[in-house]
Amino acid sequence: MKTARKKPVKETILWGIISLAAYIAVFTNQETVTAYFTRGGISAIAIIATALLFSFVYGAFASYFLELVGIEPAEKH
Amino acid sequence: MGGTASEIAQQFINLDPLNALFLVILGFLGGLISGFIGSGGAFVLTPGMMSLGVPGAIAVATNMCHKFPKALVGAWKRYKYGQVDIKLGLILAISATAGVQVGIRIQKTIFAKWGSAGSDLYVSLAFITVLTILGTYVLADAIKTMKGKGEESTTNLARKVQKIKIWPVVRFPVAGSKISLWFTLPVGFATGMLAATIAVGGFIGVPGMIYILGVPALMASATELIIAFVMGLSGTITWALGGFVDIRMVLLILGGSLIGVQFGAIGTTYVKEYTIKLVMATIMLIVSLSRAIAMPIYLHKLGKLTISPATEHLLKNTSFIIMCLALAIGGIIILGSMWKGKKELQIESEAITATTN
Repeated sequence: MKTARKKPVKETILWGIISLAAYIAVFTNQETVTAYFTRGGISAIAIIATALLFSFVYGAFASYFLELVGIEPAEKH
Repeated sequence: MGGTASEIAQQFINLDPLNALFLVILGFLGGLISGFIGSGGAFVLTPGMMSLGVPGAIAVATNMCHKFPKALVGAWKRYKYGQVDIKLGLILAISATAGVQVGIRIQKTIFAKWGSAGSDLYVSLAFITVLTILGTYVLADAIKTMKGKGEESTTNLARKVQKIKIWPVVRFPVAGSKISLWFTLPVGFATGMLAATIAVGGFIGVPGMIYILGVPALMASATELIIAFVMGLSGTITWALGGFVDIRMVLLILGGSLIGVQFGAIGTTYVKEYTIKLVMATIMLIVSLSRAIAMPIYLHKLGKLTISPATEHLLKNTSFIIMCLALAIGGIIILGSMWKGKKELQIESEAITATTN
């Protein structure tokens, strides 16, 4: 028999809010962000760090979101 | 280099809501395809950005930067399904990194010498040549497997390669094969060079693993994500040092692709192995056609060909529509196969429940 797993509602909301805040922070300061990130040299570290940070935060949200809407891997028999 | 960092920043496009939405959708579809066939997001992303007016080098750099976080998330997901051979991925990634550096050097030289039109032409030429040749081969193989029992078989070439035991021979436990390092090196190097040029190394990496190293398609496409992560990271560092990465576009693309890549990874658990090859070949050939149609535009910009503004407009639109079609068809095959696989599993599970009761 299949046991119904608890849907990750709280996790989805939490990571969703953090992700949204991160996106708003970047896009309301577009000019400053672009000016700093295109300086080259040391600003490359900021680019890598930003991309990684978004992948963890938003990646977690995406994972919980897919689970919440029932998109899960096949259980092969 | 193509000018100072601030000069490059001036070539960044203005992002209106429609452009932003386009990048998120493109990201989702690109991610879906990458999660499913291990690579290929840039198939659609590089030309997609170029269709918004982004110069080739900035499109490639931006795509490279979105690739490593996406590949990381995809690899982690597929590792959980037991499809990733980390050892093989890392070994291929080392030679791929060398390939990336050579590829970037060529790109920068072209950008400096012929500007963005030259860069666009070069990227398109590489797209057409590689995608047409490999796409046709992979498609023929997918059709052969489909018509057969649906089971994959190791190619003769892969069998011969595995028999040659030139030191050092490395055992890959997850992929289940033993291969001399001398064969993994060129596969990795070519993957890296292609990745730095058109941002899609997987079009050499995945077929290379399948047809030369004898790795099953499911595992090859999953392992490709490790290579994509490593070379995406090293490539990004190089491009970012020159100020080529548009972080706004990276984040918008990730907005769609981090959902898409996980969706695609889940999709692989529902389908037969040949579906991966079929999706790969279909998209490769359609995108190749799309780039071929856009070629006269770049030749015109370089002064090598004269076309009227109306023709240019028509070619641009046609190329763009065909590229969207490639995306849509790839997405439909993946989602359709997932849906079919899910139904079959449901029927199977109901049958098991009925017999056990």
